[in-house]
Amino acid sequence: MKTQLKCFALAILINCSHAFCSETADVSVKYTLESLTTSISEPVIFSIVIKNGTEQPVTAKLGWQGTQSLKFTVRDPDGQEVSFRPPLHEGIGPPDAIFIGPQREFKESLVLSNWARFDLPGTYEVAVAFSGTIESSHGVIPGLQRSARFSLQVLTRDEKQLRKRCEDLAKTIERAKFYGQVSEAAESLTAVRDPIAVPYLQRVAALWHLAAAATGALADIGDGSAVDALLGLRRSSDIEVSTLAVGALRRVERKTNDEKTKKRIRKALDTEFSDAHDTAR
Amino acid sequence: MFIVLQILDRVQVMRTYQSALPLLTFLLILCALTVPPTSAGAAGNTQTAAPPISSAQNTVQHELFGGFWRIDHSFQARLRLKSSLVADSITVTPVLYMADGTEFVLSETKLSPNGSATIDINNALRHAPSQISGHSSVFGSASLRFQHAWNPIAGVIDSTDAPRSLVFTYPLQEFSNTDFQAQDVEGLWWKHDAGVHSFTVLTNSSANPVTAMYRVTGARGTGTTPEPLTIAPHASVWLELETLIKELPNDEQQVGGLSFRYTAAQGALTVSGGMENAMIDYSATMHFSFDETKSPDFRRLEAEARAGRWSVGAKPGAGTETNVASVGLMAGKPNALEGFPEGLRFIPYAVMRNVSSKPIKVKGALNLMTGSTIDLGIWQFAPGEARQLDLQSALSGAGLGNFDGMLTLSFRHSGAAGELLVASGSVSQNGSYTFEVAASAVGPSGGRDVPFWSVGDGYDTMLTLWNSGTVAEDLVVSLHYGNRNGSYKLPVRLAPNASSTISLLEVMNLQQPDDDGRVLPLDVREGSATIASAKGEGQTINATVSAGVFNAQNGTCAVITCYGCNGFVSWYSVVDPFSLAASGSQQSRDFVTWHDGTNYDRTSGSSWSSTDTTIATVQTAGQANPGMMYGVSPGASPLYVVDTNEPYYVSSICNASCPYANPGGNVHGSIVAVPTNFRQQGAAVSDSDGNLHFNYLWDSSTGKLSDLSSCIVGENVTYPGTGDYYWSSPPYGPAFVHANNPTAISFNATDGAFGDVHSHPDFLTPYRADGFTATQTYRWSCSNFLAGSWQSFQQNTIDRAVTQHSFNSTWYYSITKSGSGAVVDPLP
Repeated sequence: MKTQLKCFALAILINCSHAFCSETADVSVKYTLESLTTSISEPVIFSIVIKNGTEQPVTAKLGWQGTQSLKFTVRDPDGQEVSFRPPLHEGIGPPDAIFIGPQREFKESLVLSNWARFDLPGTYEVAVAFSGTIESSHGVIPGLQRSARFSLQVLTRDEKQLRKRCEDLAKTIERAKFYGQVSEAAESLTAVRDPIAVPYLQRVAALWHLAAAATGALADIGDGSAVDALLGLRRSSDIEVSTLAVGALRRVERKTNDEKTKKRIRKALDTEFSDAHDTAR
Repeated sequence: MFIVLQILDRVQVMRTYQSALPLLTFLLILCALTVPPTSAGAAGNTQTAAPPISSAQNTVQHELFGGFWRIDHSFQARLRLKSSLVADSITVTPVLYMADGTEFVLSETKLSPNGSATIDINNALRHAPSQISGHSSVFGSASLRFQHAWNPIAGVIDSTDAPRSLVFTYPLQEFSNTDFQAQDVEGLWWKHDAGVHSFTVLTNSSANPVTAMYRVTGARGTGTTPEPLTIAPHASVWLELETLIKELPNDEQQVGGLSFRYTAAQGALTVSGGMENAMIDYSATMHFSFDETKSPDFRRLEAEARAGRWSVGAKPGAGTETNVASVGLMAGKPNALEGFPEGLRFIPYAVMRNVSSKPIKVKGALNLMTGSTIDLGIWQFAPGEARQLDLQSALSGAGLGNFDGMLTLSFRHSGAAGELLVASGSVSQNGSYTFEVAASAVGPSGGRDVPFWSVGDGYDTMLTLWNSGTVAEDLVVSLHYGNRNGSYKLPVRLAPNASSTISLLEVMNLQQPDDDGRVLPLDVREGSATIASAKGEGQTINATVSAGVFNAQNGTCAVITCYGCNGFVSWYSVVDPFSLAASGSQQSRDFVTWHDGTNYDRTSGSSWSSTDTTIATVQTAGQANPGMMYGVSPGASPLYVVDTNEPYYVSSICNASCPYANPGGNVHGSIVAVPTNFRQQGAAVSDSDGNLHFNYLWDSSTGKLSDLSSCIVGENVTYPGTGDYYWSSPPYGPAFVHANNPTAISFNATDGAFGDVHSHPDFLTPYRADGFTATQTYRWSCSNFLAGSWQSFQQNTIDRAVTQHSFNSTWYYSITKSGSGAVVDPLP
């Protein structure tokens, strides 16, 4: 119990140190960036935390896939600004209405670096606006904090730091006993778009059915080491893993400009590039 | 995009906060002083959950080490590997290590179900890249790397020098990399004749240098001065023992021991060795102690036993007595059909060494094929004593001096398994033909595995089975051939104490169809074998097995020292869904996962009981519905105790003291929570953009979503064709818009809900007719249930089409799923 208390104390302290907290009611909304200092290639993770401190359940309406009520604006160190809502994607996601029980908390994390580039060293300004609602049996809860702004310091690519982060994340996944311990680490690791992540993605691909996320990340990295890793996963005894790896290899083959890599993948897959693909290209 | 959705249960924490405010204030101050603000993130996951039934079900990395190889003179070394999985393929990465520790990673090998493969080490080394060949050596070691929930792989290296009739065989084994402490390895050497010289090879399988102290002991246990030896990471060191043996008293130089002590992780040092006299074509493998209880798989089960999930019974021999047998010793003239030179006679031998600090009494017997027995009396071994036994004299004493045939040497000794090292076999009178027989523990097991056999090109494999029980055994020998996913089944009936020898070449040549109409194909050259009860795999047998691959033409016989004991690797109990009401009833089941990946339902044979019969009762074996639970009154659900009522044997591979039994067979466990009651929430919604939205809910079988912390819920969507699915362009655009095929997305099952959106890319003119169907499966997986395999909730088809109206030539898009649909009409 002492450990839990420490963790909770930490959570409050740290979140409020670089988060915007709305504590005006028993229902509060917090917006946080996982870190206000990061380096190029590290994932930038945003979280929204809704705390229901009442004795009644509430429903948070965050929009389709739990994201459409959030709008982000990112200004890079050169002053270029981009605004976006997380794109609606095909497939399952959080429901649009989230039931939050009495004295419970809801947290949703989004990898902003999947939608905005953070590849210049310097200070980024990140703003979020929330247009959703939170409702109780008495109606819409007023007075919520609806926006937040962060200054994010992006340092130059730090290979050592990146490797250590990947190692820590991979270990977290490998040692996890519950999926709750896996999901955030997997989210972060699969968002690292850097060849340094390759061996770590390979390590975790067969754990907790992470192959889809891992092969997708490897395809995005797409260099020789990622191709090696995907070729290894292609031989997995799990047909789903091997199919995902083949799909990822074909994705690399399509997008890379490196003819050697293209040829290598074609040779490895021992398959002809289909007419349909050629037409599409 | 990867979204994390968590519902964090704060109830317990919040309550504590209210009652412990001063402490929390102190902690806040403390944290403010000591914790950098960047370490936020995952803080605060305070969910509690039922303990997982098994921690073994997640895929983990395995590595088997050891297996000394040599390619000096005309030795040909082969690495042979075999999978015991009956339904799944598995990919293994073999690695060779040069004597200086240089690593040479070979191409991956995919083993089909029950598949085996052979890697030609000489050939691999010939084609080694330059950065490896610069470190080449004439001996070294190997490892096998793979991922699985448990270890289903057996690996053996045999090095055969056919022109000189020398052969050495060593298994690869998996060790726990924990227990950094003093480790002891004991060995046994003997001299067939004065020309024999003995050697040993130490391999450091760890990533750090290891220093070992070693010494040679003589027949009475007299030892040489211990000497240190440091071995670099993954390096191998060859030690010639003759100089040390000559330091022993003259009357102790015929037989003795070898002792190593090092401080490192268990298994950091693997030891191999042999005796050879190339002048007379004699070779024999040196035997070393190995504690199978330190394998990672056994450690896992042991930890689960400590956690109250198992009742591990006494290991045979762990008490005061151990039963061991050497099955299939040849005596006298060999079978004329086997192609041995005229006039050859075999003499059975046995060598033993007491490695304990107490005297050991050994009571021996020779068992003939028919089941009759010759009592060999009692031998006494002082601590440290080693001795060659004169079995031929024992045969002569029983009036069987001219006996021709097969024998089984069985013996019972005081002390635990492993305290008496045993080497046995048969050697021709001129020493040029040696048939070693690995001694293995006698007793019931769940079946046996023989990791490899060879036939053809002058080779044959002899399998010998001995029934150590008191009733007749009906067995099935399944001969799995190579990597082809096929097997031939041979029924064998053994009277009590009787033996049977099977020549696999003869089985092949007979081409007699088995019950499934299969024959052993004539072009098969190698494979593996499983010996199981005719009542089915997983049933108890009392057979002990030995096998030898021999070539009568070149006088080589590779002893197989790596027999697998078949047994369980995990156990589950499941109630799905858990919704037991007062006056209601519900069925629960329990089943065992076997080493080959098969799950056996044991519900009807198990004893079931409830820890609180005032709340719920359960029917047990012998009643109409074992496992059926009945609610008595409202209350917290009791812990159901399941006793499988059968002995289960822990799966082990390559362990000399097989079987390791769990004779009580008691299994205790709590109920596994699994996702259930998956359902659509409300009606589907079609938005103005033609997107179709669904929401779904599910429950936990225990009624508490937080119990699903080992589970994920997700979808798998497959599209037409293989590889990513590219939307036709036009009517969709731009080109390159694709869906991963399959699309696989998962969420934390504790969420209890997710939404599903079926969207479309932008539309692109000129429109043309297009339609396709995707198949969607909603599914779940729990790491503590059925090895984490996917279980289906429901399957849907998703139909999309771009169609032209017949009445006005405009185009429209439509999508339908589960009776709901959305349209964009007309297309822009």
